[in-house]
Amino acid sequence: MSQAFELPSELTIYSALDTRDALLAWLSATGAGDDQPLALMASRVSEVDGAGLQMLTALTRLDRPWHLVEPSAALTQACATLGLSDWLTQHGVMA
Amino acid sequence: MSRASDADQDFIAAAMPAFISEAGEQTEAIESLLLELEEQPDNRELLDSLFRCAHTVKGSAGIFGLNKVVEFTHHVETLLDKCRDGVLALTPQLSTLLLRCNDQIKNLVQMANDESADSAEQKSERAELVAQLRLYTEGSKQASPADAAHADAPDTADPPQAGPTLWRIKAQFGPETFRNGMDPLSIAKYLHGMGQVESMVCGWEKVPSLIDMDPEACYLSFEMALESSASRDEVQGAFSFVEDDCVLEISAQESKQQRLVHELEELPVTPRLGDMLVSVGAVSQDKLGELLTEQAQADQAKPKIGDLLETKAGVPPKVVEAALNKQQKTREASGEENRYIRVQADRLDAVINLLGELVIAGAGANLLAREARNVPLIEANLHINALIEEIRNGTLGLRMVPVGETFSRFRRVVRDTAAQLGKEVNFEIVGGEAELDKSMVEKIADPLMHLVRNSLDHGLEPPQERLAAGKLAAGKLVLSARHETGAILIRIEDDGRGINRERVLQRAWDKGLIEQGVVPSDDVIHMMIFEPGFSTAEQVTNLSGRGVGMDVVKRNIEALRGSLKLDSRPGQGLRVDIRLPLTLAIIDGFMVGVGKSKFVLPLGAVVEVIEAGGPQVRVDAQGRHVVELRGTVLPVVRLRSLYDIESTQPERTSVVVVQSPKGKYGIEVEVLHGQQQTVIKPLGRLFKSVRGISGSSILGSGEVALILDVGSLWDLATVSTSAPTSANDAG
Repeated sequence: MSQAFELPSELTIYSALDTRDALLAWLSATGAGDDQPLALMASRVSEVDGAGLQMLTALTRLDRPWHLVEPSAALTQACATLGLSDWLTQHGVMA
Repeated sequence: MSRASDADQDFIAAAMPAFISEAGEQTEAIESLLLELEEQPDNRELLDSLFRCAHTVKGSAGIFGLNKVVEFTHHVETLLDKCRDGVLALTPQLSTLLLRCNDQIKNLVQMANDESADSAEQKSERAELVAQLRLYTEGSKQASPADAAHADAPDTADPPQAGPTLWRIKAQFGPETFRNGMDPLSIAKYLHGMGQVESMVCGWEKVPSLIDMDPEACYLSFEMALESSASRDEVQGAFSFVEDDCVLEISAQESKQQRLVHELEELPVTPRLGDMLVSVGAVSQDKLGELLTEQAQADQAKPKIGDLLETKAGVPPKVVEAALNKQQKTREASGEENRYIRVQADRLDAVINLLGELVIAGAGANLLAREARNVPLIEANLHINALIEEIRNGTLGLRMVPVGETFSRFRRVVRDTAAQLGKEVNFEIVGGEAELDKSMVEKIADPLMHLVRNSLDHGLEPPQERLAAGKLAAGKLVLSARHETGAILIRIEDDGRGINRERVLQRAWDKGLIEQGVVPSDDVIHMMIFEPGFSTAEQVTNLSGRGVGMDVVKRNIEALRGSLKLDSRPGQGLRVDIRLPLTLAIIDGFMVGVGKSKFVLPLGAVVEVIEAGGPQVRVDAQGRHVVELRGTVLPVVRLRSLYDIESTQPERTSVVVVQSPKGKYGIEVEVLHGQQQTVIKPLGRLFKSVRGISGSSILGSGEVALILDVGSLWDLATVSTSAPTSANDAG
């Protein structure tokens, strides 16, 4: 059982590099052989910008199923604004 | 049009007369519409037609490169548009201005072939009119700044601001976007604030995998549909900081409202308003059914379905209006445009001429068949002749136009003339739908115009005088038309002072038209006003009273084989009756013979025939020939003695009783040949002076028959004391 990744509260351009590295580290830690869907906790995300959303869309390129758990209001709103609502419905999971 | 090729030039030259004639009709329509609008200023339909007329003139003038017409008419159109939008009211002053403008449009159209005919006076008049038009249109523009703002907007390709525009925005952001401190998300947020976002799709196809991506580079794009009243510039402004690094496409799409409007316009022929709105989804079928039931149940003052749709179903007024327009256009397209073919008058005349020859040839064939006593051939001929008659009636019918077209032209004349003379007048047109040969309509217009002016000028009194005489201040002038036994009766009736019999008589004596001291009958005195150089107006106005005209009126009407009759009631009014034949080409005739000569009477005038053996012609106390018919004594014309026909006289004669405008009388003849279609050929100059004959006709056998003029024969019948009489008159 893999550990869920906790998305930072600030999912913006300023933290983009760090978040990417953290995500990559987490992905390699969970191991390729695990069939369990990856879970990203998104309830703490309070600040999000285009770069942050772009990072999340990059996850879609993974060949493993994954989902966002409990996306915060800020994240949901940002997705709606940028036209990612449908995308969020696919990957978002309410706890 | 300077680039036009020779072929184009040829086409333009060939089509120009059609344009001039059509534009002429449009300007006439504009005039009558304006006058009708004066009476019903709130009539939206009239206003719309008015606008369409001006628009049509402008449009077709544009095709012909008549820039002056286009330019000038454009100003008129602009003003009319304001009226349609309810920004301007069509006041009498505005109406007068528009009438003057219309006159200028007419002039410009007339000068289409010859630009040099444009005089300096007219140019300045036009300039003045344009200035006045501007005063109205621009004055109202200030009142609605939205309009002005729109007019100043540089991007004219955008749809007109009929509500918000649906902007379709596509943006592919450059990789440096984030590093430059910009964010597609905040731009999207900003755009959300500008209006209603109909759809928003983020494009992240270009975002690479987490490993390959540069987290600080931007790979995003989005497509947004934004309904907003913001201008293109304002929308573009949202991207002002990323512009250098961004592929941006902004296109104006119709808003939902505009889309409905457009879809309506593109609908196939669907005449019912409700169905149109259902098919584009503006209202549901169920709701429509509900409303239709409601409409059907309303007892009085049935609400219009359009209004119901607006109020009960919440369909935006703009959409209902578009549907109504579409409906109107559909009706027009299926009605007007398809119903009319423009044919040159001379082509039609050529057909009618040929038809005349065909009638003659048919009569010839018929005669031969009868002589040959070949029954099947006679029957075949009868059938052919029946068909020829149908074609003849049909073709003549093509030439028939309602006389009302001419009448309505007079509204303007009456209006302007009355205003100029300081008189008030109620002008009425009755029976404008009566039809008359097109060529007759054209020829009768001028004489009628004169008579109408005459009534206004001499007949109707100024308001004070009328009040003093116990009449209403506003005079009444009625122009009417109706069919009457193969002729049309046009009547001009006023309730003015009538003809001043004494003054006319005095004048006639002075001018030597009547011998001093001789007092003829009232009819004769009244007809004096039609003598050349006769005018009783004490003061010559520039309208009438110069004594030029009334004689021309009489001459013109007589040239059309028409007659004039005056009925004057002193102090109460004057009635002028003009009788005209319906057509100049062919008449249904009744052929009779005297000796070897043949005569044709218009069939419509023949009342009955007293065949040989009935009551005989005798001579009354004054030496006139008369016949007694059921207790009435009718005067009789003897063609034999009138035209000195030499042949052995048969023992007994027949009498054809005819009805003339002046009364019934008989014509004594020897042979009754019966009914026959007769093509009228005008008489040569030599025979113009022969009394009682209006024309001639060539018969199938090649013989010539003379066509009797029932009206002028009456005079000969009643004054036959002067006609030569033969020895064996006592019958």
